[in-house]
Amino acid sequence: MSAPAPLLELAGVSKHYPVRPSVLGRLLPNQPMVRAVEDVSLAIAPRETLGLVGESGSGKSTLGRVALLLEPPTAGTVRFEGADPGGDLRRMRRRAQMVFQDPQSSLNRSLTVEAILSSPLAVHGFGRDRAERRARIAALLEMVGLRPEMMRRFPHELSGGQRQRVGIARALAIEPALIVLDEPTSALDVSIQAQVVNLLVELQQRLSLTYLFISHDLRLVRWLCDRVAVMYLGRIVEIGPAAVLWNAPRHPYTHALLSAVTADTLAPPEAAGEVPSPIRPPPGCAFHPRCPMAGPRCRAELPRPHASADGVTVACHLHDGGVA
Amino acid sequence: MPDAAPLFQVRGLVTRFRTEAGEIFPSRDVSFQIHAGEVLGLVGESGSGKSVTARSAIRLQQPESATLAGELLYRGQDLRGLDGESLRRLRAQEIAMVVQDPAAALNPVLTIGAQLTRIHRLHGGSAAEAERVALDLLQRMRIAEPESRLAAYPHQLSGGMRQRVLIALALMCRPKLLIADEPTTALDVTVEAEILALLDELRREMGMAMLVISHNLSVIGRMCDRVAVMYAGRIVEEGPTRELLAAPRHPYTRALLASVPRGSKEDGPLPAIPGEPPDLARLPPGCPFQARCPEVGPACTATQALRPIAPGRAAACWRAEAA
Repeated sequence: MSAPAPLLELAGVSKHYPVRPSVLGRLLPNQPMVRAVEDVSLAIAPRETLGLVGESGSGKSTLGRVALLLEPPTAGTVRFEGADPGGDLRRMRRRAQMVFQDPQSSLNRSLTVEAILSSPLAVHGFGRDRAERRARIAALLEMVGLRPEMMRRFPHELSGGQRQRVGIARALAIEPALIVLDEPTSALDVSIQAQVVNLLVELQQRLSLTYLFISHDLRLVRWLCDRVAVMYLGRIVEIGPAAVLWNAPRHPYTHALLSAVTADTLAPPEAAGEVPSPIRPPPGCAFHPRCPMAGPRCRAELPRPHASADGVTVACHLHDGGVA
Repeated sequence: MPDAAPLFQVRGLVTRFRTEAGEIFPSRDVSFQIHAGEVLGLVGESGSGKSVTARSAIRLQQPESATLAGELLYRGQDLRGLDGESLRRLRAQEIAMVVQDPAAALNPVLTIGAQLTRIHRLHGGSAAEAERVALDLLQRMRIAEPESRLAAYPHQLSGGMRQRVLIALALMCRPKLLIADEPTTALDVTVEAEILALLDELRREMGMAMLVISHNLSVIGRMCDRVAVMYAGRIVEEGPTRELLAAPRHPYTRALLASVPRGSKEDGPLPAIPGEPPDLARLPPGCPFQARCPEVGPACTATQALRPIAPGRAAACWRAEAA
């Protein structure tokens, strides 16, 4: 299988934030940093859906923003359509878009749906005048399953599901190739979530879209994504085809996540305790304090990503020489 | 067990709110019962009325005038007939509640220790005794270094830790009935699994009954002996959890279960429920689910009362009865 050239490629990407983002804080030496994303490398092929799962504090949302260069990485490179966007972010803004979790707060409440959707069209030069843009907005609304009359409504006059459809229409307005979807259905009821993810699949097929789908919901990611990356404390601990990860998770953290989701009894969980702070992540493998399989090597040595023939890459000593 | 008198029995609860859009009825003729030591789940999507129903059932809902009708029988005594003082005493000693957002439920200016021991001391316990019970509960909730946590303030704890503290707080007086409203919704799945297991262990030990309110079918499936499904203010189906989840009889329950993702997109689109939940201010006569129901028929415009369909099971649908 010769892999197609990736649409998006991250190499050694890290993102650190100062804990105290003040001027004084920046002047002090050895300023504590939140290591939100640490040395992440991944590639997304055209028309692929890559899922990014993890619990709160795993850095998945930060990685999504850095992937779109909405924030610059602290280290590493982001390549889009085979090139480093460098100083020319305008082209990337046009070809890569984002859909947020809560359309209630990401849509400007004082604007009508028409105004919300016409702003990206105007910025990127779609449509010569208001009439042309209005026709395009009507077509966009129909594409996401809303009646064109909805363009006269304000966000608060819409249901949660309708608002998220507007959020998707806004991302689609300028015909992007890549969409980063950050928990797009987390605020929706499960019956409405099903409508929205069906729409995402349909749009992807129709418009040849590539998705980076960020979620804490493993069942949903398993359903929607071709490949899945599992993040823990800023690092990808396992990445591979969704079906392989679901049926045969290799990293003990992936295993613990899956067993927590698929349990139908109240068995004690495999990973007890809480996620440690990303300011002082544990040494060695960051998961070792919660890991039922951890050995001395896990406390001392950082596991390196280890690729195998079935397309799974896992960063765990268990799969690379043992934990002793 | 079903022969004994229930610990808590709600009969014909009706609540009404006045909103800008008009009058809405978050609970419309809701009845359920919980026996001692039993766990009942109340499951539904947003706007189904499950939280208002639970809060109204123990008279926590404000304004209380919203409750128009119904009997709230706790050990045979109607809570609606109690004065404020007796009600407060009952809620402090026998009925406790855990809510979704521990940040809002804990007092930010009091230490964890002060909040935990206060309740116990209100019941006449000594300070030393209260602290011993608090430490024991924090340990049972697997809170590391419980002694130092007693001196901590809520903001110094993680979300998962705060939720553990909140559960400990609810259990300080060893209640007979615990109302848990989305107790783990704000938590990550691995933390959720641990807290549910701990809660269940303590519940069994204390012989406590529970009413678990959740939108999460997996949480309900793991925690509850019986489950009641709410839609637009009504219980549309009720029964033993395993039986109901394995073979739902109301079309809404069937559609809700089917819309949970399983398998992959290669298997075809997810069976979504078409449309949106109804506007509670403009409900049609009859079954509230009729506009979205794949099995709608002429009989659906008549009120569908919850009726027995099999031993221990009930549904509010003429089709379920016929099936």
